[in-house]
Amino acid sequence: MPRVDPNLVKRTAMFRQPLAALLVVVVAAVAVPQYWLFLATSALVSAVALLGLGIVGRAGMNSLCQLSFAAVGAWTVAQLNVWSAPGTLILWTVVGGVVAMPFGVLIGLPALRLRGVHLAVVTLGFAAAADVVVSAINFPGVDSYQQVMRPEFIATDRMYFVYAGLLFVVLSLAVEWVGRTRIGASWRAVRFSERATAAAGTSVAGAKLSAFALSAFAAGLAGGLLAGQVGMITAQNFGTIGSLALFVVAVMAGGEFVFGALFGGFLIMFIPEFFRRAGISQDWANVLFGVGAVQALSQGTSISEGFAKRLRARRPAAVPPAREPIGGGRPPLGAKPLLEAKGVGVRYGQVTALQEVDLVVPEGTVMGLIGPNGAGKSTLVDALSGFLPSAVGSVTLDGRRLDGLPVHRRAGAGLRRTFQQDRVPTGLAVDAYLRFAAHRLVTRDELEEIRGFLGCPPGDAHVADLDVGSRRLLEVAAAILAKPKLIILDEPAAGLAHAESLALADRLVEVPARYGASVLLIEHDLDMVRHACARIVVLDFGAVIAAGPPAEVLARPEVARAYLGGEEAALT
Amino acid sequence: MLEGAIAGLAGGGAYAALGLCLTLMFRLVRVVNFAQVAIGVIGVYTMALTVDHGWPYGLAALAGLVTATVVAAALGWVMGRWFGEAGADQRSAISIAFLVSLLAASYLAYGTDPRRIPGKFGGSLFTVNGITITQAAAVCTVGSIAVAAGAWLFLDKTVLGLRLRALSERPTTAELHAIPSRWLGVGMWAVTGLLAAAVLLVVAPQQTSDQTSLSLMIIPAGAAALVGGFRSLGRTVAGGLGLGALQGALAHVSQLQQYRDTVPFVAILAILIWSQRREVWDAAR
Repeated sequence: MPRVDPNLVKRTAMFRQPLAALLVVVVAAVAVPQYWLFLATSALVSAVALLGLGIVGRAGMNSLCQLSFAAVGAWTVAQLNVWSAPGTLILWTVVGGVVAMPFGVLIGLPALRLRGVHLAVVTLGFAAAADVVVSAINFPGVDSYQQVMRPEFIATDRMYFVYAGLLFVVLSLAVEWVGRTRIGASWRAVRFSERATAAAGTSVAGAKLSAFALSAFAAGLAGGLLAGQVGMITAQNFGTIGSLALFVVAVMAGGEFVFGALFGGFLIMFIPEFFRRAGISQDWANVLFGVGAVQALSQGTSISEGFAKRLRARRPAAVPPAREPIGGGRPPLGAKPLLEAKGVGVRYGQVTALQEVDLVVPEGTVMGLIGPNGAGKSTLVDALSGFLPSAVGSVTLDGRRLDGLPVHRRAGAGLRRTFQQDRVPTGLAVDAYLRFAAHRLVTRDELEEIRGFLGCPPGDAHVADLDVGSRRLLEVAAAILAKPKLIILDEPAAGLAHAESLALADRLVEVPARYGASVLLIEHDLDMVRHACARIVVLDFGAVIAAGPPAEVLARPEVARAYLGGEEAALT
Repeated sequence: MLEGAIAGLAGGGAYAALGLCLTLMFRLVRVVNFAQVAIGVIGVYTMALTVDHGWPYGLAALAGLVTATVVAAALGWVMGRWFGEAGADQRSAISIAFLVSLLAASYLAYGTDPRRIPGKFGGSLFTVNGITITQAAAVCTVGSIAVAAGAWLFLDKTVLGLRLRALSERPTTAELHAIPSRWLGVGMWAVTGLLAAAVLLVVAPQQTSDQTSLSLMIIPAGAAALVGGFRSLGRTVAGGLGLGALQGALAHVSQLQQYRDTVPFVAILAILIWSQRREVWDAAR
């Protein structure tokens, strides 16, 4: 049997679903009888709107006002039609999508602070308010009975169906393509953790607003399509309950997938028709959608996602062998200061978490930061990486002032950090995550090299299928791949077996020479610290109590006291 | 304008009482129940249907209240059975599915034509300086304050209230302490469902009475609950009454009249952005 080149398979993956959708459209265009064409076109209109809903869904946000954005698109098309603007319906539809985008950004702005239920309440409120406004102002051309004109070549219902189908396919290609770029990865990353997204050098605001803008664009297209289909639009086409039903179907069918959107559009239009033909009330359809969404949520996946998971489960990722310690060399001490923090202090109300901490990390070394629980290690990392705007003191990296910069700018300036908690977005494959977090163009060889160096799982494995230890390694790999000047690792060995921790320590020793980055390692595993670090700094009660070579510092009585609480013993 | 504001108190009292239902549900069973008002709608339409069949009003109203309570309890059971440990976001998404389904079910059961909703609180109570206080406004305002006071006493002063508060934080832990969390949750759904139906029995006859617009009273009710941050009962009542009064007053400004229903959205946005302005990140650390 001839083997297919796996790289080719990967590169063509983004075309798979849109091409299948194209096939469905072509077959339907030939096979669907005249009577069903109108409904089939409506299904495509809904599918376009659902694709948009899937985009905000990827970013982990709920939007209950998709039809309000569609109304903007439809209104624009109707107005351009009344003006007899150049470019025909096709250009008007695109303009409608573009006009809807600022509205998407406007609703996306509150999403920078509001999440979950709060965002749902806001978008529902917007849907109802838009409903009121749309009902009050009426669509252009309605009073003078001006139908939206279609150009000659899509004048028939069958040609209009083909046009709608092609629009869906083009949009789904675009969505799949953007989904594979850094912007698309940032949506999935934001869904999993905003902090990790910013720490990877990506603006959280940019990710959320771009998701809302593109989602509104798709909705605007759907509105324009609908205007061209029915000719005369009214406020009833864009009711609040319609938006809610769209959301429910997106949850049920999975709007994040091209096929989910197409299937959802099919359900929205054909289930009611099916009931009508069977002599049953069409209202049963919404009852069914509600039950379907509850079922999907109880399973934790939409229909499409469950399907994708099952496909994936048939070819599980190979688990890489555990790395053995190699008893590697000693890390260089480094001379030239790289990171200089002076007088860093953090207060939470009356509690002083950090006071007057001075820290210098030299270039080309691995330095350890240790201290008992609650000593302020993670607070220091948060202050250095920009998560605590209230922190005082100055931070410079390679001569550049960092204080005052937001998190993603500090990451861009060359300061990368990892998290104590597992913060690798589960919606991505290993290589997709590495590319996203690298925040620069990386070659396939670079990806292979770094995965091999740290012993990470293969590039096409899904993060969701990995154990915690592998995810920690992946996070470290991503930080190294970004080619920063300084990498701060916050307990990277949590979740690793002891031998693996030591193996990681050996690798970290090589990082400065191999990748040109200094490492600041925060760790409780003192064996690992001893292996990896040229110098260590000890923090207790928010202040530096000792600094120097590991063996010497760990032997000091005050360090032992900090760890063991009063007992006079050395940490050996 | 003052007259308008006072006339708006009928709606405001309803927002306050429904907002209380939302706040109680969020505090005690971790859900922003988007279907809260739709449950009440089922009750009111059951009442209207049975009155059409010749039942006396009192009996019909009772039937409506019982139906709403049973429907709410059933939904609460589903929530407890399959989503007992789910977070507030997921549970609220489910309540959106409940809303869509309930509304469709109500069209199935009661038809799509708006019904005449018989009521007992249509008349005016008294008139002072040319300003008329309607019975509905008085009942809703006083009723919402009474419910808030009652709920506060119950939660703060009784053992059952304490148990409910414990249950809301960690249902499984509560069960380990021999608190039957699922059944208390179902009970909570039932009580708020009953309350929502009671509120709508008072105000629905005065409102545009199709099922969809009634169900979407969830939006101003949600705005009222947001004023109280889904925690404070007192501020929820104040928020609801204030919102109703504002809407009523705007109804008398002719330029803004047709847009007065956008007030809840503007209110929601302003309150949320102010209260959440420091929530820069999704997780505490």
